[in-house]
Parts: sequence; structure tokens; C-alpha cells
Amino acid sequence: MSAENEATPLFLVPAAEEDHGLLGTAIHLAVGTAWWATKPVRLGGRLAARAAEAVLSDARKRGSWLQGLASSEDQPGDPSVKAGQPQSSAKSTHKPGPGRVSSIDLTIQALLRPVITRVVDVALAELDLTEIVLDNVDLDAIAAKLDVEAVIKRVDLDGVVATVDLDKIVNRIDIDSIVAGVDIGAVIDRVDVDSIVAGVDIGAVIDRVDVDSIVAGVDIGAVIDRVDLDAIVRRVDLDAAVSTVDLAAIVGRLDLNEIADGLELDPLVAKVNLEAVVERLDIAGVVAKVDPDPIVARVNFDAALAHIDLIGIAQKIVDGIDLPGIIRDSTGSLASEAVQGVRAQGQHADDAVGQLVGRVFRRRAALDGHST
Amino acid sequence: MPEAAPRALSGPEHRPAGIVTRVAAMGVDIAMVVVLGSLIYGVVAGARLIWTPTSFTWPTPSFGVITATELGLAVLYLTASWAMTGRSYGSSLLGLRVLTFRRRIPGWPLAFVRAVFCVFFPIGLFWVVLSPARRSLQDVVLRTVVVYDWHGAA
Repeated sequence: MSAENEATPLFLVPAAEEDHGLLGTAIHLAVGTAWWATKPVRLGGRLAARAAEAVLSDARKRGSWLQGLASSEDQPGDPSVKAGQPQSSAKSTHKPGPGRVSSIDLTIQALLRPVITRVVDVALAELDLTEIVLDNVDLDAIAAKLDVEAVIKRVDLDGVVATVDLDKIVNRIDIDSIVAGVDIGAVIDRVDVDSIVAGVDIGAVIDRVDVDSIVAGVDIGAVIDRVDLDAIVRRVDLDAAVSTVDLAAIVGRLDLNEIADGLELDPLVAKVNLEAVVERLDIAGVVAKVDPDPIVARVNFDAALAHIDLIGIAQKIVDGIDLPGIIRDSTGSLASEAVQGVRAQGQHADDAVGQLVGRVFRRRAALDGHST
Repeated sequence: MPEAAPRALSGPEHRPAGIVTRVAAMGVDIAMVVVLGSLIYGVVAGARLIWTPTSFTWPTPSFGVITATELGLAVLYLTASWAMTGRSYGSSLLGLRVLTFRRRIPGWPLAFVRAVFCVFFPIGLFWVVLSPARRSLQDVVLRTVVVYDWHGAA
């Protein structure tokens, strides 16, 4: 019943689609009835075809002389090829192989090929080979007998890989989600870094590195610009660093005379506040420690005086003294003292005259200026 | 309007001056007037020399002219001195000062009258000897006083 249900639509569908009228329904019913009625005939045909095929196959196996004859006739070439027959048809109908076709086989093929082809087509249309294989074939046993390694060796992996569009595959891969799902910690824990490093020939790696080319390609200025030197310096313990320096040894290695010869002292001295330095000096203490006698004994006063314009200096001193002013002040003071003396003497004389007149006229002394 | 004295002149140091200092001051003033008259004579002679150098002769003023000139010069000199500072050069040299009875610098009228009185009646000065308050006749009539004014001065 299943074969009937599957086969019926192959014939009825076009008629049903073309004509939905009463005539179409009648035709459909008639054809279906005919198809159902001819089912025994069709089964008989199938059995006959299978039986004929089995007989022919058995006959080929049993007839060795036919095999030898066929091999001798096959040497000039493949008649099927000459006749332009498709190779696939020969393979499907003759199991001994395409190169071993005899004249009888050719005759049989010429007679039975159309029939067999149609019968096989009908049979394939009616049969569900997949179900049959799954029900009747022991796939596990077949798989156990397969030489998987030989199959793999026969596979042209390079050709297969060449046909693969790796870019498209990579684009379809969500690397982010893959990475998100990876337990990096576990991966790192499983990596034996010590053994990897132990196996690395560091010397060979270093020898292969062209340090000069790397350094030449580095923009040192940009690197320095990105470095926060202030932050680095703040983190440096300069006191500890300086405490480890042997300053005495450094100073001992310095050629201070050479350094002093290279210094330009004039600008430095111009920046020095000499007045402040002099104010901090104990000049009196320094002078007190100086013994002037040997210094004076070494001085050539005659030569020094010969270079001095004593007349000019004396003239400047006299001009600066304002000698006329001094004389004027002194004479003024003398005149003032003389005037004071005259006034006092005059006052005393007045009093004396007054007392004299007072005695003559018997006045009281108070009226003659004795109050002073 | 009498001019006020520069400072208080009523203390014991500013008591009336006696006859000796006042006569000495008068002598100095007479000498000053004589010098001023001589200068005037020199100026007049110089002017005549410049004006008529060819016929220059020393001026020979009469005694009356000289006397009148000297007296007038003395009045002007004393008036100006007493009205401005209360003291002439002689009074300044001897440390004297002429004041009113209120101890103020005399005004121009009083100074002028006192100068005329002193120039034309100089003998009145000697009343100082007899006056218990050491006042001359000019001082008595014009109510002025001559005091010492030199203590404390430089």
C-alpha cells in the first residue's frame, strides 16, 4: 500500500492540476483503478526482471570459456567506448568491470538494456533504498571492515583545503565569544613555562635579533616625550642613591685644575652679590690676623709717591675743606664772643653807674639794677 | 599801629638799660650816620665824575648842608631802625632794644618823633642817670623804654 500511495501522485497530479472538472475526476478515477488493477502485473514484471538478471549473472560466473573469450575479444579495445555508449551505464549493469565485456554481453546489453533500465527506474521509484539498507544491511559490520586509514590516505586533503574559503569561515567565527569562553587562567596554569623557557636557546634568539635596525627605527624623541620624567624622579629615592655613591673617590678622580681652566668665571662673578658676601665677612678679624710690618717693609713708598699727584690731591682737599668758611665761622664766633663781652661789660658799667648815682641820691639798690 | 615784639621782653633780663650802654650805642649810631653821609658824599662825587668827568671837582658842601644832611640822615636811619626792629646798629651791637611802655616795637610815627627828639635834643639821654627807672627825657615824654635784649642770643 505504501508503494501505491507514493506512486499514484506521479501520474495523477498533472491531470488534477490541469482539469478540475468532472471529466478530470473520472479520468483520475479510471487511471487509479487501472493502476491498482495492474499492480500484480507490475509485480510480476519486477520479479521476472530480477530473475533474468540473476540468471544472467549466474551464467556469467559459470561460463569460464565465455570469460576467456571475452578477454580475448576485449584486447582490441572497448566496444562500448567505440560505440559511444556511456561508461556509467556499463558499470551499472555489468559487475565484472567495464573492460571485460564479451560479445554475448554486448548482445544481452543491446537487448535488455532498455528493458532493464526502465525496470530499474520503476523499481527505484517504488523502493525506498535507504530504508531497505537500514533494515537489511549490517552497517556496523561494514564499518568494521572498512580500512579507514586507506580511505584517509586516498583523500586529497590539499585539494579539499584549496577549495575551502578560509576567509569566509574566519569571518563567520565569533572570536570574541570564543575568547570570552576561554578560561585563560586554566590555560596558563596548564602551560609549563619553565620547560618552554628551558628549551629556548636564548643566545640563538639574541644572535638573530638585529638590535641596530630596531634602534634605528625607534623614534627616541617621541619615546622621551611620552616619558613623565618628573613622576620617575619623584619615585626615585635620591638620598639612598647618593648615599651609595663614593663621592670621595669621584672627587679624587676629577682634574679640578682642568675644570677650573675651562670655566668662564666672569659671568659667574657678575651674578655674585659681593656686597652681601662682604657684609658677612669679619673684616676686623681678618685684619687683626694680618701682620702689617712685613707688608709695609716690602712697599716701595718712593715709587708709589712718584705715581701720586700729591699737588692735585692737596688742591682737592683744600677745595673740599671750605677753608674760607671755617675762617669766617671762627672770626664770627670770635666777634660774637667780643660782642657778648662788650654787652656784659656795658651792663656792668650801667649797674656801677646806677649804684654810684644811687649812693649819691640815697636810692635803693634795686632801682640801680641789683636785681640781676 | 605798633609792631609786637618778637618775644616776651618783660623779664628780669630785659630790664632798662643804663647810661653807659646807651651812650655807647649812640656813639656807634653817630659813627654809622657819619659813614652813611660819607657814602652819600662819595656817590654824589662819583655821579659828578661820570656826568662831567672833564670838569670834575670834589663837591664842597657847606657846613649847613652837611649838618642838615647828617641830621636828616640820622632821623631817617633811627626811624627806620626803631620802627622795623626796635634797634639801630649801635643798639644791636650793645644788645639794646627800644620798646613802647607796653613792651612793643614802636610804630613809624612814634619812631619818627623819638628819632627827631633824640637827634635834635640828644642831651635828654642823660636823664637816664637821674631817672630811677633809667628813662631818658624822650622815654619819659614818649612813654618808651630801652631794655637789654641780648641774653640768650647767639
